[in-house]
Amino acid sequence: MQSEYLPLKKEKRLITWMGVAAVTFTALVTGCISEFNVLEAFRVIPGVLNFIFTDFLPPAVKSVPELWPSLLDTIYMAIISTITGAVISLIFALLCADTTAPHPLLKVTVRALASVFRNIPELAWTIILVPAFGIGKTVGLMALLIGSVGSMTRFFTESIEEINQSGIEAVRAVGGSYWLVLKSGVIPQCIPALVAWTLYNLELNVRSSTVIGMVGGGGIGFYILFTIKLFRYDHAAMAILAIAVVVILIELLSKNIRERII
Amino acid sequence: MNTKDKLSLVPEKQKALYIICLFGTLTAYAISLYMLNLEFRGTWENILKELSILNRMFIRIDFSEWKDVLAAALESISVAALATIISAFFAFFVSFAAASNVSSKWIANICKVMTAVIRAVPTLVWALIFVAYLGLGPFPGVLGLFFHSFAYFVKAFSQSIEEVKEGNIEALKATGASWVQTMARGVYPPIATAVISWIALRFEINLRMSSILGFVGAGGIGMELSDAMRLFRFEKAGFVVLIIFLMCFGVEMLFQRLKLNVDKGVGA
Repeated sequence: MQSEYLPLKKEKRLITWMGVAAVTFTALVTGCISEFNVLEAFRVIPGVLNFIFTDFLPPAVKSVPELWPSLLDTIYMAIISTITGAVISLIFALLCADTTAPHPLLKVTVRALASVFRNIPELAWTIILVPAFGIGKTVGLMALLIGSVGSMTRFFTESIEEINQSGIEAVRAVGGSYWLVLKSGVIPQCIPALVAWTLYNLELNVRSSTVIGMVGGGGIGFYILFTIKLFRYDHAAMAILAIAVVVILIELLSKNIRERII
Repeated sequence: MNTKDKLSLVPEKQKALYIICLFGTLTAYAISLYMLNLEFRGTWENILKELSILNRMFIRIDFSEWKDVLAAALESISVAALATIISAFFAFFVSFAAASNVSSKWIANICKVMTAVIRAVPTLVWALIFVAYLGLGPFPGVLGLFFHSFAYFVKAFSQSIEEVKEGNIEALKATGASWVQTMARGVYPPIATAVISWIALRFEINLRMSSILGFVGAGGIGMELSDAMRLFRFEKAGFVVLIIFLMCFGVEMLFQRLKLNVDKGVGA
């Protein structure tokens, strides 16, 4: 037994070392390409901390009335894009999940569309849309919506494909129409997963909507960029703090609801 | 027909919760839509304008500057890979301190609060702070990504460590193993696969992030895109967007087998 075990252990150790070597090699090569120097990084850390603690902190509490409207806009954009996106994504997901797709051609088209939406980052969408629609909330909302539809279609499709097939077969066996299959066989089974994914996407959208303003999408991102460019770091710090609070609150809310429904 | 014989859309037990959620959602939607006060005047002209821009970007796409664009893409990939590797390395050790079942409650809670705060500030904001201090270039980009990924990994890894069965740890402790030995032989083996899939997932996120870091001056392909758009060179911008898409799409294909799990979703 030992004779069988030892070579196996040796082989495993070899794989581990090869993995370590490959990762180290990658780190070195990528370090060269991006001109990153670990020593330099350690050298600047005290300076960065000093910069954060003396220039950014304490945050300017008096700037709250100034940034309040854009913070609210940010939250509104996240909410609208998530809910609208969830409805569109549900339709898309039903059209392109293997189990419910009405037509193979439609399935491929919707999947490709969702992939393009998802794999171009929301900030890039913002930059693409700004020249025509101008700087503002409309562009931010559109970019967030595009991104949400892209990622939620993927999440929803996976959830729909994972469900137990016997429910669908049972409805089909008694002669249920396509709509009845969806209504009684598919939706009831995956609704907790759909809600959970929507909440997860809300978290992502709140994060994205706070930065989308930096490239012209409206909301609090513009305020942060603007104040940092004017060296009003304490004002920027207040805005960043406000974002952090909103993100944490949304995360707690979403976690709470998710735990109840799953 | 008795209503109870009908199949309901949602689990019967949680019907009240779902109704509250639905009601809350609709209210939030209505309020947001009203308060955001969107302008729809001139939308049609804007759509036509956007179509002509998209036409210039993707139909009359200009490949001529492929050398610069591909070099910038390589820089973005490097930034993402490097930040992922370094942050995973440091976070791996810190995560043991942040897991409440193998560390003291106090230390674990302090670590958790700190990482939660770091994570709550978006990566791009971190990058912007570093750019403000260090100037333009990929270096502040790596640091910005590092900060956020580090906090993400600490949360993810410590979550996996907390899922390790208590028996594993107790059995090793009973043999008189030291803390380090317990971690290496009892805690690390069961979480190894989870650690690898977390790293892969985060690399996907980091690649998306690093491709847009250039918008705030932190190097990589994002800078090419924002410069091209600013100069109205839409034909070149189209090529840059194509490369960004191919990068993100490629990584997504590569890691498709790692199923996302909503319970474990830590949030980008």
